[in-house]
Amino acid sequence: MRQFINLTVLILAVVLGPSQLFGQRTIAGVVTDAVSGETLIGANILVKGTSEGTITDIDGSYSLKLPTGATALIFSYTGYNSQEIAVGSSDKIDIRLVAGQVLDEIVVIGYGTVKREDATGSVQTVGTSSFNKGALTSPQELLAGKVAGVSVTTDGTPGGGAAIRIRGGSSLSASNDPLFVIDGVPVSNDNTSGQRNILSLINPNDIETFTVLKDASATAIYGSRASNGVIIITTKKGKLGKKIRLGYSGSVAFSNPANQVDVFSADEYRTLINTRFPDGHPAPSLMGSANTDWQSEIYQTGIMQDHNLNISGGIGSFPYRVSLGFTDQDGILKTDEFNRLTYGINLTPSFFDNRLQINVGLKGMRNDNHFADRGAIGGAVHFDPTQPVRDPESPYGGFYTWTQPNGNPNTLSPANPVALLEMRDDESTVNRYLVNFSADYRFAFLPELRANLNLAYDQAKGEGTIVVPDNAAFAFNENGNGGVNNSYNQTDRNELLEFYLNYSKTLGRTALDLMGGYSWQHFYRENFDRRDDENGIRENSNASEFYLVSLFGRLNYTLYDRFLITLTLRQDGSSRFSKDNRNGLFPAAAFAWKIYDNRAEGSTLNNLKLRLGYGVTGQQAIGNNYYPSQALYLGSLTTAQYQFGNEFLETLRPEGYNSNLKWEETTTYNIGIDYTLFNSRLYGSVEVYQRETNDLINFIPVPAGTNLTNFITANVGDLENRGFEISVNAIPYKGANSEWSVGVNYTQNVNEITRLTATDDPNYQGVATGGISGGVGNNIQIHSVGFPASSFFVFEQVYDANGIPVENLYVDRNGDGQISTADLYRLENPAPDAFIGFTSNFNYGNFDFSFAGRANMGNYIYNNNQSNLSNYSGLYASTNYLQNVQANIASVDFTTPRYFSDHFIQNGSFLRLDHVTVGYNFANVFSKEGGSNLRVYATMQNPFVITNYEGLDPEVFGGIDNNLYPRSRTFLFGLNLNL
Amino acid sequence: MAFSSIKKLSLIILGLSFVATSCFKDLDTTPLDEDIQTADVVYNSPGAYRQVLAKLYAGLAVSGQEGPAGLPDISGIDEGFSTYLRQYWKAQELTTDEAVIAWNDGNIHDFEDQDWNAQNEFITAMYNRIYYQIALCNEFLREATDAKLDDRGQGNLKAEVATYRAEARFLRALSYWHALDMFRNVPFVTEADGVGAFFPEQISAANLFNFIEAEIKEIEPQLVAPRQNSYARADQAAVWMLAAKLYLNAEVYTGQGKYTECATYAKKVIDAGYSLEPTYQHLFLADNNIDNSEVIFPVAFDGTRTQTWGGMTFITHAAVGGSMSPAAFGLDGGWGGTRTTSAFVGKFPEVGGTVVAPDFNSGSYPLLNVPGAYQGWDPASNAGALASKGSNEVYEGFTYFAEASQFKFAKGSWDTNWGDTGADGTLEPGGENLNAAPGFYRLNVDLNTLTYSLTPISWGLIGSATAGGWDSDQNMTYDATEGAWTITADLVAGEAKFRANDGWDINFGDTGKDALLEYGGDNIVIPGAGNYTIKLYLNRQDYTYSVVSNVNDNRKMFHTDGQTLEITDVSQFTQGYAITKFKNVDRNGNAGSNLTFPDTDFPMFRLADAYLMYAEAILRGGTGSASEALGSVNQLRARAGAGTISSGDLTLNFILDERARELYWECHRRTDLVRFGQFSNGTYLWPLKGGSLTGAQVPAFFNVFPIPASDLGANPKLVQNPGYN
Repeated sequence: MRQFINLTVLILAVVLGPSQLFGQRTIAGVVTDAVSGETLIGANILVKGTSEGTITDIDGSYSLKLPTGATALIFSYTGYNSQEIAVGSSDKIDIRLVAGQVLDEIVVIGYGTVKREDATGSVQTVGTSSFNKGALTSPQELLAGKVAGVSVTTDGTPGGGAAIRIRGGSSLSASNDPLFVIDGVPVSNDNTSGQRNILSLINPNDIETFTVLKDASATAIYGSRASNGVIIITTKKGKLGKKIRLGYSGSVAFSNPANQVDVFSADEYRTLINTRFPDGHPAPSLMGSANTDWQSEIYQTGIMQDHNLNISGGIGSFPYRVSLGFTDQDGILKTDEFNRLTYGINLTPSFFDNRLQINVGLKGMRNDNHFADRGAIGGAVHFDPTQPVRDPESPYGGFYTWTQPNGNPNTLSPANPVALLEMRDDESTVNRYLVNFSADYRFAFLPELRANLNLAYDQAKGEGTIVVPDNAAFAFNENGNGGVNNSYNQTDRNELLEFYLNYSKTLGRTALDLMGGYSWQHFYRENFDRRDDENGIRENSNASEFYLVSLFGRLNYTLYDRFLITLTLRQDGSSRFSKDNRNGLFPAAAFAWKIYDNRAEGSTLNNLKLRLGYGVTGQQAIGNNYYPSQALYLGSLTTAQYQFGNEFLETLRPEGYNSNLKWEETTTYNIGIDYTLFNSRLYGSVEVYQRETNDLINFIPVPAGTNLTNFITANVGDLENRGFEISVNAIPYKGANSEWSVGVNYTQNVNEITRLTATDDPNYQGVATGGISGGVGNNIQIHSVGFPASSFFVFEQVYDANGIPVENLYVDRNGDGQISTADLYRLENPAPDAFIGFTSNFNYGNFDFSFAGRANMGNYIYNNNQSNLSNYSGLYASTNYLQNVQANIASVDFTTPRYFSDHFIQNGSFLRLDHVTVGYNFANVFSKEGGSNLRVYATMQNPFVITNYEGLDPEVFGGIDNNLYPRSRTFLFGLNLNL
Repeated sequence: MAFSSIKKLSLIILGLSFVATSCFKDLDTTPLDEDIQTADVVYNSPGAYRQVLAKLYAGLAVSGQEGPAGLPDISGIDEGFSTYLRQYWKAQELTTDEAVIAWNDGNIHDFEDQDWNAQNEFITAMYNRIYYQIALCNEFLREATDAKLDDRGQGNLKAEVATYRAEARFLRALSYWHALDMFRNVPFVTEADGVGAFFPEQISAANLFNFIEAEIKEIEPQLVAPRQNSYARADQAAVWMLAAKLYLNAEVYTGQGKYTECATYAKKVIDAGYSLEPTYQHLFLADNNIDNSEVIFPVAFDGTRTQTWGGMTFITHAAVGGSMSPAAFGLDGGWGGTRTTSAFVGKFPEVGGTVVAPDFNSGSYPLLNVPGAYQGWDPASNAGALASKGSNEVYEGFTYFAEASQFKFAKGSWDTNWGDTGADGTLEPGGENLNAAPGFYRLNVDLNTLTYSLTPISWGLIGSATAGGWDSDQNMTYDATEGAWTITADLVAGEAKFRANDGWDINFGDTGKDALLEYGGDNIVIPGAGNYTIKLYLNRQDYTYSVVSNVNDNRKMFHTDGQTLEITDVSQFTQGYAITKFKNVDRNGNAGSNLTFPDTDFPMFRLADAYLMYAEAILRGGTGSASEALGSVNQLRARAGAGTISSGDLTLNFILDERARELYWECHRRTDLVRFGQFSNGTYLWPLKGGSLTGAQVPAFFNVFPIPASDLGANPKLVQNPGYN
């Protein structure tokens, strides 16, 4: 490696100096629109077979030095059909481009780009025009429902994160999140404390495209972090042209809960209590005289405002774009606030006739949050509706509180939900910035060779405080030193250095593209937390780091412009693993055959391409444990000391470790067909895949006595995902100034665990997972061999003639005459069997109308709210407090919680319309010249959900429904202004 | 300008390339956090040995390194549940008649129902805790060898560390004993095995027994003498206790009884200088770490420095609920979880048992009434009348004059009455009134000779059962309302008599044990130690008395207010009596240092257990002194105020019950019931056993817990215990 680097430097030093000495013939001309004759600013001119080229200036003219051997120039412009013109003897080529379909789009892949038609892997791009609309503060939301095989589950909180799964989860204990690459910088998936979303850094308005790399042949270039797919995000850049372009977009949105849990009203509750409890029982006397709808008390109309300003243009050959964004969003849960300022600068200058292209980017944000205690959501469902919110006599901040006879708060009773929101001050501020610099240089003496250097620095600093006054009932302490006064901060740093060389050569219809590079990335995390409670002030700080050092290479070979082969290899080294295990080799191969290629006007079949892919990718993201393979000792805090005589000792604990830990590997097979029909008005792809994960990084029981812990992260187990995807994009109608386009994608995925233990013990049930609320340590799901991960593990309920479940009567499935845990069975799982995304856009003149939605089929949910609350024993607790129950209690009719009844495993299939948007574009309102416009629009987000699920919302990531932040229904009004 | 830019860029790239070349070395990282040290560095500090040893002990108490929660030791279960003591308590108590729990946590009710399987997470957590503890001890034994001390230049620590090693081996033996007792055939690892990927062999119960026995014998001389180590650390007496417990159950483990060995080791403990804490309740209070002469090996807790959601926090909080006042327990609130069954309540005698009931239905004799001012001059009233038991006109009786009073003698009416004209001691028919000062008198009248006497009398209780022995009596007091002389006193087993005026001239005994008193009669038997109320009824024709035992065995600590005795719904805290044994208040009633986390230490081994083991071992055929055994057991009963027993009472069944009364909720019950064959399969049924409200038998294989499925899945060398497949 050292030699490689030195050689690289030597080559660079030699070639950069004399680069200006070469001279060639120059060709110049003007590019215009074929219909209007207007000049096209910023059109691309590329010398065929090379990456060399230029763009037109403000007058539409260009000038290009032709390299020797150049045969033709390719002219392209966004929204126009490309044209290829052979170079003759003339030094002047003027060209008129025809507006058309953009099929020749360039797709960003790892360490390079590729023409869409030449892509061999499963790659899909989503651009601005296809993004979801609405009050979207999280970039992930833009993507929901847009790409086959990609499911996005948002969490409903302002600025909140979202779980993205590409082709199902490939891991059990390691991360299932895809790798995000932002403008060439792979970022960490570990969220910084106080930050709601790992992508908060990016203002959705600055995003140009998402490119989703789904199969291993596409992702393998990212090796060990690619098992769960890769999402490449590019941000908007400036364009050449003298004119300064100014853009403003702003919106205001109003959100309300779409739904509430149906519980007994105060009057109904009084009747219920008086009926259920005999005279003399303490329960009736505990009731109050208020009529409180607790859920109404904790929710509010959440108002969001969002303002974005961007300025772009070019100074000479120096394109720039500067953006500023401000978002202020109140959650529908009271006191939940998200406030973000983002800023971004992109500079993309070129030098030496575009041989050196520099890209400098700065993205930053300051994010202020106030977190509402989500316990209030469940609390509001439970809390006795006959009690008032406030009680002037209450010493606990004036909030009604269940007390013990001595006046102290009842420690087991639920906290007043409004007090929980108003007396807990949980704030954070996150400052994050990402600077990246990349230089791409095409060697003058060897134009086929490019060198690329990419440097980046990503720093996030989150700090926060949690303050609860000592008169808060839920932080009460009899000694008078209750309350909470905690603070924390965390700094994450991610440094990147990447370098690669790319050699690209075209000989007639055969082309070779070879790339090799080196990557070094350092992740550093520093924590500090300070707790001030009854034990006094305790401070704790620590730091940890890990490195990834890699070599990678790719070969693209095109034969007769018809057969395409891609071979990829990456070697990753991770400091998380011991020396013997740290290096992983991740190969991939893909083959594509352009079976049919005919773009002629009027042809029924335009394109047909077959793709075959195979690859191995890895996974090493095992959370915050950066040293899992080293023998370490950990000290104790002062509250975990042990007494020796008159002395208390802070203890030292040897930590469990696994020196054999290594990469988890996923092997993916992919077959895809891309098609384009009916004069490019119908296009899409069909794909089938199989993904086998071996040596699962799994948190598993160690053989007792063999390690200094009982569970360890080890490579045990296999898992499989098999799936099928179809995407169809169509333009069913196209008029002179109107068009209707639709897109639908369909995904089917089956997940199955194929091995779980070191031994093949047929009696091994599996690993319990899926903690629920109710009791402590109750798990409702299980990972078992032969079943999907996180299958529900329950008793089969017996029902009476009226369809009411019979309490504590289950089917004796193993027929041993008694009901025991041996009768539990695996029933369904939270992941949908299939899901659909659909989008429709309609333009008529300046008017536009669009909607988008999603549907899930066969996603099951454990209705934990119901299992925990729909029973009578919850009404009265022997420590003397009351709780509300769900209104449908009669349909369950349980006296005590029966957590493990399959009655609570409910089908969550749904059809959701994500948004409906109407807009009108006042084109050219501010100047007669083209380019300026004002568009106003209104969006209704989440207008309806069709589902049989009885809970609040059928979209529950992980499949356990409790304390779910309700997704809001939002009305948004916005305008976009471009000058 | 362009050229210089290039130059700069070249320099940048050149510089970066040097960074890049060293980058592969970056993959060798070590922790940056000062709280984390690599294993090869940590022992460079001499204090580290002591701190690691402290962790071995803390492994019995806390759940992790943060306290009360955070950085847990073991995973796979809620951290608060995961502590050694909490799991041990649940496994040893909830499975028996001593405890039930209200909560709906996972499969917790498998314990009460005795229908657990290999998937039970609580059994798994207990097993994991045991092996975690064993693994920690092994690691310490690997790192604290003389050779390694020499290597590190710490040879001067050898002597001190040798004691630490013996303590670590004691803790390992303790956990292996728990493994043997609960799981029987288990994987076996020692310090000879490293950390890493291997499959430990399964050891047979007999071989594991031999291993523990050998360890005990080896470390016995290396440990500090009894009561000489710092508080909460193990000494020789701790290992003797472990030996006694191992031997007592040897027959269960290996089929071979080792009762003489048990008695030998129990005796070593008994003779080691421990003594019973005078007040039983004090053993279970927040200050039970101070001046505790009875506890041999505690698990130590502290409200501010040793915090956990398991351990004593669980044991104290879970037991408080219903109408109980958390403040009285030094707690911020109760968790409303654990109570007991009616079967256990039944181990204690009823309050105030009657030993001798008075006989108020005596025969009728000729009467001589004593009308006077004190009773309204009614010549027909039999109150205070004298009787002639020989029907010979010689009358005797006891009369109480509340105030100075005149009186006469009469036979049913004024037609025949006698007075003493001239106060000459001779009665005259219709004579003048007699005079009596206030007080209690014996009246004797002989109508044959017309003489009488009036003797003021006060009564006392005397005898070997009383505090004064036969030398001095305990004064009784007259209860005018009841018309009886009474005394309430702590007595011991023995004999007693009533005597008048501190002398033997007038004394009563009970010949024939018929509750009727005779002058100079036989001594009255007081059957056992305890508090008694004794009443002497003399205002009637036959003198009688009652002996009521106030025996309220002071180990019987129930909260019954608002609680039902029987349980129909285990999830209701108010069903089943609550137990008030463990508290976070000190002996003066002051709360511990923290209302959430108790200061109370858990008595893992204490002297009372040694007494009972010694007695049981001898009853089971071990060699030892039966009289000493009886004396020891009676010491416990005397402390409890429960009355002592005779040698005939000291049977094996008595021992089992006595162990329940003395040691309940101290993690002995499951082991005891198994040893007595009463746990799963035996004839002893208690409510909820076998999942039945009235109790039901379950197969004998439930006497041993299953090897957790998680370990069978992880270790192919393990074979499940019989019955669980």
